[in-house]
Parts: sequence; structure tokens; C-alpha cells
Amino acid sequence: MSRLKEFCKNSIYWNLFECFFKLGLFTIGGGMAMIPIMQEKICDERKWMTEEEILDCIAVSQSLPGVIAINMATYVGYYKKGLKGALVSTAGVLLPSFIIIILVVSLLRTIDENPYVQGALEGIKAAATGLIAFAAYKMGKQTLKGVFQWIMAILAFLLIVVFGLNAVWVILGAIVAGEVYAAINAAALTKEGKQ
Amino acid sequence: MIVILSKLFLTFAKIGLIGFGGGLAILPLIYQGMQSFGTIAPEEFAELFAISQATPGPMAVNAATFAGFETAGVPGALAATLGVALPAFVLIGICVKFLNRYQEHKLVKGAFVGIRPVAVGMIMAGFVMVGQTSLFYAESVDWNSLSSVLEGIKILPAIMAVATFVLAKHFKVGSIKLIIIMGVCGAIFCSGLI
Repeated sequence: MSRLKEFCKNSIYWNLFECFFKLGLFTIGGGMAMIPIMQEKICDERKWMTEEEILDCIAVSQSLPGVIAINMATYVGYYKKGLKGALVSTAGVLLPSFIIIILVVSLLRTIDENPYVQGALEGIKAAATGLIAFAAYKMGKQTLKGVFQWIMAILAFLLIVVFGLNAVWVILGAIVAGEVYAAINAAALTKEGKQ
Repeated sequence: MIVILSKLFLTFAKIGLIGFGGGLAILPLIYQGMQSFGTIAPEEFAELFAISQATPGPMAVNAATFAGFETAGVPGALAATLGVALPAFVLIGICVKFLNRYQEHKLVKGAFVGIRPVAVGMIMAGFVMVGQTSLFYAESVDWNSLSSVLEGIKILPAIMAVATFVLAKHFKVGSIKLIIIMGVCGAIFCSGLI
């Protein structure tokens, strides 16, 4: 038994599976609610990725087709341990849904009439909202270090919230802006170097 | 049986491939995709919708499992869930492989200079989108009128969201603990509101 425990503790595959199983279990609502927990587990606790790498993962997951939660699980798994890592992470994030839905559908048929369940859901969604705000604050503090970064973040926010633009276009625009900004910076650096 | 299972798998693989944005954006596609099976009556979709939102796990995965299970039991649930996951799996795999190989390339680095701050903006946008329904009576609020917005605040959930932020930031309480705490508080204090 202790040997099994030891194996579990040291196996990166088991750790990936366990981490995404928990993420699947505590993500109620949508992929967005997964971001704060993922950031906490993957950056702060296990140090599998830096805050910047997590942001790359979030951006890529939002701009490719598919379920965001699955995209993020596959991304982290692949990034850490290739195909096998991706398989265990994705299986981990899928499994809670799979078990719970089958149980709910075959046993209860319905969930939405009990006032206590409804009240608990209100509380969970409120917590998710607060946590997403905290994730935005924390990652913003890390990433938004200059005027360019602030403008990009605010522009993306406005384009999505006010103008309802699809995330794909926002990311494509960000790539172009990033290339231009990096090129201008590089040119300025070489100019400085020459002087 | 095999025919139904492969049809389920393909239907959901198609949904996984064309569904951008996940969750609410994917549910209408599932509705359309399930029409040809005739195993879920239109009024049952309201149930599918509610259960998918109210149970743990990504909404689209919940809905796929639900629809597959209703159509062909556990094997059906498996076929639909694997179907919806497959396109993401392949596309993200290719993408990460490419990014890992060209990590140090000037163009990849430049792209991420633009992408990272935008990802922060997207999380802020996510906060607003989630908050619209979790902290406001979204159906009855006119977002163009300040007084209507103020009247539409759900007071208790708003307090709980602020408490969550403060507990996470200043007292370093973990997210999963906070979700459980607020779920219990909600069951106690919010159950009378609905």
C-alpha cells in the first residue's frame, strides 16, 4: 500500500491525471471557471508551468476549436509529457463528467428543483466569479508591465465584451501586433547597439 | 449498435471540430446534431441544458455524455464523449509540438509578446460574462440603464464573490476550498431566494 502511494506521488502521469480529475470535478459552468484552479494547481503548487506559459495555454485553447477545458488539459499534458501526458490529462478531465452525468441521469433524472441544490449552485457560481477576477488580477500583475501590454489587454477586453468579437480574431490581431512590436523593439535595440 | 455508436462518435467529433468557445456556444450544435437520432425529445433538451450546467465538469462534455447515454447507454456515452474530445486532442497536439520545436524562433516569440496580454484581457472578459449571470438577475436587467443594472444585483452572491476574492488574495485560501465553502453558504443562505 505504501509502495503504491510512493509510486503515485512520484509518477508524473498519475499527478497529471489527479490534477485534471480535480479540475474536472470542480469546474462547474464553463472553461473559464477552470482557469483560476488550473493556475493555482499548475503554477503555484506543482510548478509545472510559469504564469506566462499558462497564459499561452489559455490563449491557444480559446482560439482553437473544441471544448476549452479539453483543449487546456490536452495542452498541459502534451507540454509536460507528450502524447501519453495528453492522454492521461484529458482522461482525467473527462472522467468526473462521465461518471456524474451517468449517475444523475439514471438515478435522479432531474436536479434543478431542490432549493438547496439551487442555493449551492448560486454560491459556487459566485465563488467562480470571484476566483476568475482574482486570476485576472494575478496574471495581470505579472504580465501587464508596460503601456503596450495594458493597451492590448484593454483592447481585447473591449472587443470581446462590448463588440462581441470572436476570440479567434482577437488572437490573430494580437499575433500581428506582437510581431510588429517585437520587430520595432529589435530595431531600436540594434540601433542602440550601433551607437 | 456499432452503426449507432460510430454515428454518435462522428456527430460529436464534428461538434468538437466546429464548436469554438465551448460551453454555451456548443449546446445549440448538440441540439442540431441530436435531431437526426430522434432519441431526445425537444422538451428533454431543457433538462439536458440544466443538468449539464449544474453538474461538475465542462458543460459541453456533460452534454455529450448525456446525449450519448440517452441514445445508447454507457457505450453511447463513451462514443459521444470521446468524439467531442478527439478534434481538440489532435489539433492541440499538433499546435504544442510546433510551438515546442520553434519556441526560440523570432516569429513565435513575437507572436506571444502580443498574445500574453490579450489572454489577460480574455480572462477579464470571462469575468464579466460569468458575472453577468452569477451576480445579476440577467433575464430582467437592461444593461444600458444604470438603475436597472443596480436593481438587478443579486446581493448575497455579490457579497460571496467579493468575499472569495478577498479570501483568495489576502488569506491565500485555495480555490477548491473556496468553491466548497461558498457552495455550503449558498445552500444555507440562498436557498430561500429562488
